Amino acid sequence: MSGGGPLVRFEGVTRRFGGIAAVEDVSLDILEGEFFALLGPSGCGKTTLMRMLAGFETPDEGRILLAGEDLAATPPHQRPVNMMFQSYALFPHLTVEKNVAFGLKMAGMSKQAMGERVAEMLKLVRLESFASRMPHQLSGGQKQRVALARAIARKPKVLLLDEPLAALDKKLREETQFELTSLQTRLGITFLTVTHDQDEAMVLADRIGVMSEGRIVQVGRPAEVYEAPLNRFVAEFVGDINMFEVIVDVVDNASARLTGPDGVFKFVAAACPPKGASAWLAVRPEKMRLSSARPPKGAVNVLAGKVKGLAYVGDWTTFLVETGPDRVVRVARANASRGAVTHASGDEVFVSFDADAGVMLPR
Amino acid sequence: MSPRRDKSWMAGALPYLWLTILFALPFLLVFKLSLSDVALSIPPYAPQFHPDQIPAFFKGLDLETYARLITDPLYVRAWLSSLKIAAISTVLLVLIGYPLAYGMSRCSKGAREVLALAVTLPFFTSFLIRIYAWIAILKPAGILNAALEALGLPPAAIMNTDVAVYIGMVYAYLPFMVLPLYAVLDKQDEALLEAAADLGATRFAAFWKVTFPLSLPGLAAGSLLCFIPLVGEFVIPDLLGGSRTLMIGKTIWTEFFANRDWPAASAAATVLLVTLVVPLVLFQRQRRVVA
Repeated sequence: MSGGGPLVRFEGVTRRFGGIAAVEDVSLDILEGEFFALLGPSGCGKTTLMRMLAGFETPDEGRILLAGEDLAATPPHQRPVNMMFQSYALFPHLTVEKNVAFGLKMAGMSKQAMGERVAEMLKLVRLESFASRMPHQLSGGQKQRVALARAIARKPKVLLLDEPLAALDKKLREETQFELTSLQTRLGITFLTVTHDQDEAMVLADRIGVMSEGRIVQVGRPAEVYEAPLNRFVAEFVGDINMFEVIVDVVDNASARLTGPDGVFKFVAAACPPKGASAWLAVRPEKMRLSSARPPKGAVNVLAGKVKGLAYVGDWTTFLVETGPDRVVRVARANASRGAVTHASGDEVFVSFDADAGVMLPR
Repeated sequence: MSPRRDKSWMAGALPYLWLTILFALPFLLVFKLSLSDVALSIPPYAPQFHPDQIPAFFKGLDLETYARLITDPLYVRAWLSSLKIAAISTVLLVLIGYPLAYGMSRCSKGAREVLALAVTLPFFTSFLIRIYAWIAILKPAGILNAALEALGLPPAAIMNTDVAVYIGMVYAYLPFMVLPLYAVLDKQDEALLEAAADLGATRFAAFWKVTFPLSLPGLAAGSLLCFIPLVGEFVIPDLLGGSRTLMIGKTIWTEFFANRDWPAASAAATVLLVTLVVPLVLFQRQRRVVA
């Protein structure tokens, strides 16, 4: 991946449908050669934002620049971007080969060069032997690869992927994720994907832009978005998290004492909110401990409770611990050894976490 | 309780029963007639079927009428002229119907429903009345010539010509062309056109490379739906056409009712049916290969 300047720049882009803003004042830079994911729930405007880059939607306000040039006057068929559609949108009356060649033909490529490029693309997606099949003769995974080959055949500056893996089953999805990232590294093309699946975004992307209600709420590397969410929406949308309602009681350097309905917490971080601030203390389930015995005296952030239920998923078990009336804390434990599910429903347990395990979010 | 018998075959048998009663049996009667000879009797043909003289009945059947059909240039000309008029009408129907159906499919959802209803609206009036209305428009002292005169233009002698027949045929069969075309165009996935544009196709190229080839099944269905009945059309050429407009439907009518030559009329009808069924079967087979 080459680190260049921003290849794509959204500047204050707004798009309204019938008076309702689907995308609102979005400013975002996508760097050359990176794999960028727009992540958000359905209806958050991520697809609209991508379709504006492709040219299928026109911004009501703001500009979209590609390599420094305003795209406003460029119709879709002249933009150096290509899209892999969620439905794949393969031409049902054309063979695999002709589907892949479609864009090259439109570009006026010579027959010989076209044949070579199509062969190269089909090899890249391992579909050489399917060249003369019709789309309806392919499996879902094969269709996806044809759509991919067709979109990259024109060597676009940006490849747009609309929910690229949504139609595949889980196993195939995981395989394809790694194929996509390795393909992106090999081709050096900038990829912009749109997804509602946080796992997919984290595995695929160099950077993630989390969207909510038409706005970008956080941009960062997957680990930043997961470990240091900027607000409650990001924290809850990306992964599982426990929220404790707190008020900052005492601040001493880099540590703070927090009080709230769940008890007293100790919090340590480089920056603490000021005394008196009301906030959320957010702690990921896997950063919490669970024990039958009361933690030794002096231990911080201990909650007593009762196991209300558990979800065993093989590699992990998530325990739902009732720590008060209508108060459930989720604790995840890796099943590192066989027979490791140590607590059963109804067990009296203690939940604890370190002072630096959580993050403070504005309330 | 007795085990329930599977009666689902009955649903499948229904169309066959229907076709046997309404198509196969009448056709066999017509075919039998075409093998008979003209006779001065009531009904005017021989041999006639008597259960006690079956061998004699079969001996009386021959292909003589068909030989007459081939050798008499009138029948051959009528048959060729019918194919020509039907083919030209079908081409005109495609040229008018395709843009119409395409335009409808591009409209907003509400407008599309209104337009689809509007296309079928003529069916709510009797076919004959609509053709008579064309007579009122096209006749020498009709509405068209009155309008031309008011504009200071010379009158047009359209009534009782082939042009009048084409006008009537295109007018009467337009819904049968538009509706199947509209059905395929309306179903077409919008994303395919976006994909085409995304891959560098102008709107014009996207139409010819994607929309048009995908609409071919509708075009074929509409063309057959028009061409087949047009070949045998009787009412329109009879009412709008002149004495020189030659069509097999008119010939069959004349043989039956003017010349009382039932065998010749039946033979002409049989030939007409065969010439229409063969392309239809080929079309169906082609479709099966594509699917």
